[in-house]
Amino acid sequence: MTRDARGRFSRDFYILLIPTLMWVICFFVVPSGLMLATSFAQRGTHGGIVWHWTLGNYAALGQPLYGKILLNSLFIAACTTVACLILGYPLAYYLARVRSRWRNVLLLLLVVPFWTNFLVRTYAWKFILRTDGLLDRVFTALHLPAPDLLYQHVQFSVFLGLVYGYLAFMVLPLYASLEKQDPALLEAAHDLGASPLASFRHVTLPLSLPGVIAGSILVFIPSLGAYITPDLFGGGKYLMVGNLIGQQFGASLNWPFGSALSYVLMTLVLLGAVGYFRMMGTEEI
Amino acid sequence: MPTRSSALRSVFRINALFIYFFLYAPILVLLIFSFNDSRYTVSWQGFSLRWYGALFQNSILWERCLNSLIIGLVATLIATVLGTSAALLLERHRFPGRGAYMAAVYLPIIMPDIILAISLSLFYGLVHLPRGFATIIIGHVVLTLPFVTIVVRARLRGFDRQLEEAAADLGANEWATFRRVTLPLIAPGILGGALLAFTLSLDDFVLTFFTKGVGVDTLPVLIYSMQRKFGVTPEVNAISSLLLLNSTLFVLLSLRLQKHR
Amino acid sequence: MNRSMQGRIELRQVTKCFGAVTAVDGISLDIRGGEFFSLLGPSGCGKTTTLRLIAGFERPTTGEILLEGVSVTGIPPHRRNVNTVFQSYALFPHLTVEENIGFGLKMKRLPKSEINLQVEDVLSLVKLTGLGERKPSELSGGQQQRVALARALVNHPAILLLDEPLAALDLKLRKQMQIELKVLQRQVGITFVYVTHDQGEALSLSDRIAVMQDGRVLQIGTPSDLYEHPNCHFVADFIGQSNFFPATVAGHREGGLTLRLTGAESLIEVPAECGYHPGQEVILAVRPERLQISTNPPPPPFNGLYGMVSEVMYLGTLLQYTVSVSDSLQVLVHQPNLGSDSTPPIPRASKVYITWLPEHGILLESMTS
Repeated sequence: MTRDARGRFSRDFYILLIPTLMWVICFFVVPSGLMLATSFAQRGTHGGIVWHWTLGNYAALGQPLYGKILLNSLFIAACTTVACLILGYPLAYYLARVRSRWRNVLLLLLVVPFWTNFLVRTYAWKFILRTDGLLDRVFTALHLPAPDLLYQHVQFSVFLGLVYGYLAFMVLPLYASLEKQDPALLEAAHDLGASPLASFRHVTLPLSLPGVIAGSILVFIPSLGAYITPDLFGGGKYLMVGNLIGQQFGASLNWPFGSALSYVLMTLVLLGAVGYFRMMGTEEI
Repeated sequence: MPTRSSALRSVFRINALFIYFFLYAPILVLLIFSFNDSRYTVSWQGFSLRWYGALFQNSILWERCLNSLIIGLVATLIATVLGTSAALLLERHRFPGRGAYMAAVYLPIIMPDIILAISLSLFYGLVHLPRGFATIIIGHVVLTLPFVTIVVRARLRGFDRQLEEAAADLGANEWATFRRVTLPLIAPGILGGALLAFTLSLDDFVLTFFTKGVGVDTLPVLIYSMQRKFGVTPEVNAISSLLLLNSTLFVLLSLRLQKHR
Repeated sequence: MNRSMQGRIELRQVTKCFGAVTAVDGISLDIRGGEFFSLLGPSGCGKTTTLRLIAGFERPTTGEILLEGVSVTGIPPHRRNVNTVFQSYALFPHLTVEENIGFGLKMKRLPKSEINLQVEDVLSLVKLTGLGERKPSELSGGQQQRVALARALVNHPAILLLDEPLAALDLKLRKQMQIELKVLQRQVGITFVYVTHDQGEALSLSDRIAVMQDGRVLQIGTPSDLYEHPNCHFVADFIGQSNFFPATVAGHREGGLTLRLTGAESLIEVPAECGYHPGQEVILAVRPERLQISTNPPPPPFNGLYGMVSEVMYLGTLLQYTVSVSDSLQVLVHQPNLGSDSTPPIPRASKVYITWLPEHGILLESMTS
């Protein structure tokens, strides 16, 4: 019971509310607010912040160098999302149809690596892709030219690493939407004369569309904000927007610009999140 | 058309096989080469435990390990208490501002780590909070709190409220009802959430990297700086393998607890 | 305590609203100590809410509840001398049977040895001796039901509330548990308030029954009161089976009325109090088993109808005839099954006479009036 007869909240309500609320206000809401304020401030000569309001940090995004990094990040995130969808949809479809004894094992195998250390998993790829790494050795052994992916094609390597990192985010919502579809619907479609392809196009696909959208958002958001993958693969020289932000708080010491960049990224992420909750409902988390 | 549909089925199967290979090959490669008896890590020189032996004698590594554990334990404790109360609040109470509260608790999940990290870093800088264990722990709590909340809420949803009424009916006051009925029944969810939080804390790199002070490093930060400094080395392979094994174990345990009825 | 107050429950004009929905609408009840009292009605009639109000899980929106002469408004469930047997049993899945039963005593901080003793006692009372170590999930439905009972009774409440406690059991077990419940109630001698939608269960168990509909109490009485003298169409229909004949008052007779049934020609007598006027529309209810059916014409003037058997159903203990009097008038007749040798069933399409004694007719207000 939330309230007593006089409409006051009960004691246990406040016991539950206050500590967590204080925590998220102190360490999430206030820092985010400070970052917003900082994004409109100016950079001091030796780093630091001078509280003269300006829109210059946002305007700086128009500079070709920064604009290019932002657009490139969006491009890579989009490619990652599409690749995850192409790989993930058939897998989700397969998982939803496979016999249930196998299904649970396969789902577990999909979920477990995704909870394990992301840094280490990315490092493992570096081990394979680097110059004269395992991949190059395999190619050499087959008398093919070594691709030297990490050095020659950082962008492609990052894309590969992101697909690897976030594929499970795509498969799980897809699986959820495909799995709850009544198989009788497909039988009904066949019964009404639809070919397998037509019944997929007119029944299965439209019904799984929420899963497609949810999965796409779930892959797009972390890909756009990636930090570890480009940092590790590019050795600090290849920048996505996350790395650019990190740099402002490290080497460049331009906190206001870093804050502005963060807010641009955050806005994009929030737009995605709003889309996701529209699709799934807020209580579904 | 049996031939066409069976051909389609094998396409699905091959795709699945390829994806699972894609997911596990790098991990297995890492694991295998951590046993390689060679400094030049790509060619196989025979099975050896020498890199694991070297790890055991590496005192810096032990210290980082201890740091990771302390941070993980404290952060998990706080996140579990706060996350459980958030879960209870969201499942049991309707109040004005509930949506905003939920957003504040859940948003860190979808925020890119880097944004969370630098907003905290900025905050610490502006309020002059000296960096050390506390600053890292705070970050880890913000990061893991929503995961605990989600797991405990799922457990609460499967909870029969009539059991609490039965306890009240038998003379238990609110606290006794919570301690003797509610808590034992949602305990697997709380424990599952806590394990998840602990795993995430042990694995975190980005938040730690931006909120740590000089001298307080964790295991992932050590791995990062080792690979930065020395590139790919068998020692790094060995620590990484251990860390991977560890989080796999914890995640399996957590999933098992979440399923427990 | 005043003896007449022990186990007594009084509800005074109690109303409970959930938002715009009124679940309980101005109910007044006076349940005597030691009584087996049932709240009977279809689902959604407010009977469970009434029970939850007595237990203290809900607060009345208006009105007052008195337990043993004391107003309990604002007293939480854990401080009421009332225990509940829940429909789902609500047994704690993480505790053993013994721990479940001992829960209430533990809350009262009784010494462990005392708890064990009382738990043993009550386990034997509900015939579960030896199962104390088990978890609820390891028991059958019937056994779980007994644990729920034991868990409530061990606290020696003045009042036991039972929310459809037998609904989850299969028919045979339900019948058996009904008998056990009745015996148990006599043994412990406390007030039972029993919620059910099963009229047969209510009739066979209760000292008194309150029939509820749409949050109101329609009639309170002993089982035979309700069966013989229902005060409205709903009660007559909900308890047992009835034939309902729309009719108009044709005239007064000594101690009663004559009625003209819609769709039939004959005049029917029925005992009635004054207050009816000729031409008034009424409903006459007659229980199917009170009707006599015969192919031979009774001596005139007879109190009954003439029609044709349109359906014969064999129901085991009885035969059920559907008799068509006219297009708009069908009559159900129950005849005890005395064996086909003594009374061969009347075949379909036979012309039959249906008669009954005037005092078996029940006069009800017309639904439209």
